[in-house]
Amino acid sequence: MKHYVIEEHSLFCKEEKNINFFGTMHSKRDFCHPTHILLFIQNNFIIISYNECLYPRGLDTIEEFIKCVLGGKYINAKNYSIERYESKVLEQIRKEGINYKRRIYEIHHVYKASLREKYLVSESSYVNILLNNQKVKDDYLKVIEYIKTKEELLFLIDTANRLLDLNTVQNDCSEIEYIKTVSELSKLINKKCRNYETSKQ
Amino acid sequence: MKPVNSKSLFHTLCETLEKLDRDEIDVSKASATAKLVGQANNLLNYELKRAMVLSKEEFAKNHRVLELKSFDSLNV
Repeated sequence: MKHYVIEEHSLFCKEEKNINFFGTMHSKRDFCHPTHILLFIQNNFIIISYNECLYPRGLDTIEEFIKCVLGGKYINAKNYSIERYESKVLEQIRKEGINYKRRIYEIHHVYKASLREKYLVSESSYVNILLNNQKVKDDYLKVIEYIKTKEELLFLIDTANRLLDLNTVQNDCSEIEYIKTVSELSKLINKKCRNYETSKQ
Repeated sequence: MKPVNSKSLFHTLCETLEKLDRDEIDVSKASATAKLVGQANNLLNYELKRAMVLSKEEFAKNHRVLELKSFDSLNV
């Protein structure tokens, strides 16, 4: 879990002083509130706090933050429901040909648009998400604990719950399932290596 | 030293497969990794089955602990 606080104000905010508001003189900065957003990037929850004046473009700003952390990876905005995850994953992986290349969406940000839930997503390896369930849950507990200590962040709890829900893979795979799958994968690699060597000859 | 469990072995093999497909590692390295992980997996499988069997009280009572007892055939 990380919390980035950007304390800067834009030059524009500083320059435009003395706005006439309800008959009294104010500077524009008096109405410049801090904005807090919660993102989920590479199995970590990240809170970013910045002043409204610095990034007034809303969603574009959030997209830029995510791209920055991901190193310029392509990000999609999805408005349909994100696929839910099935149980007995490993059994399927073994039976339907080992689909280790499967890609699924990692959901970075959830927001409401036209009364519907929308997501900022990028593609990620299914195996990575499957194996990092516990890490995500641990980070979620940390972020919730942190949010509860700061009153201005309390509204982010719902977002954290939703992001946890969307980014964990529900599976009921036992230790034996993993062992069976590892054994199958090991055979597959050996088979590939043999095929490669025979094709070379 | 990295802690190893069945999940981490699974992850290693998936990574190896992807690297092999992208030609990032050669066949001999992939084969060696697969064999090593296969052996580690066999050991984990053995430990798991042993734990399952030993969790039955009746069996555990009569079980001869191989690691502690000497073999009958050896005169030690």
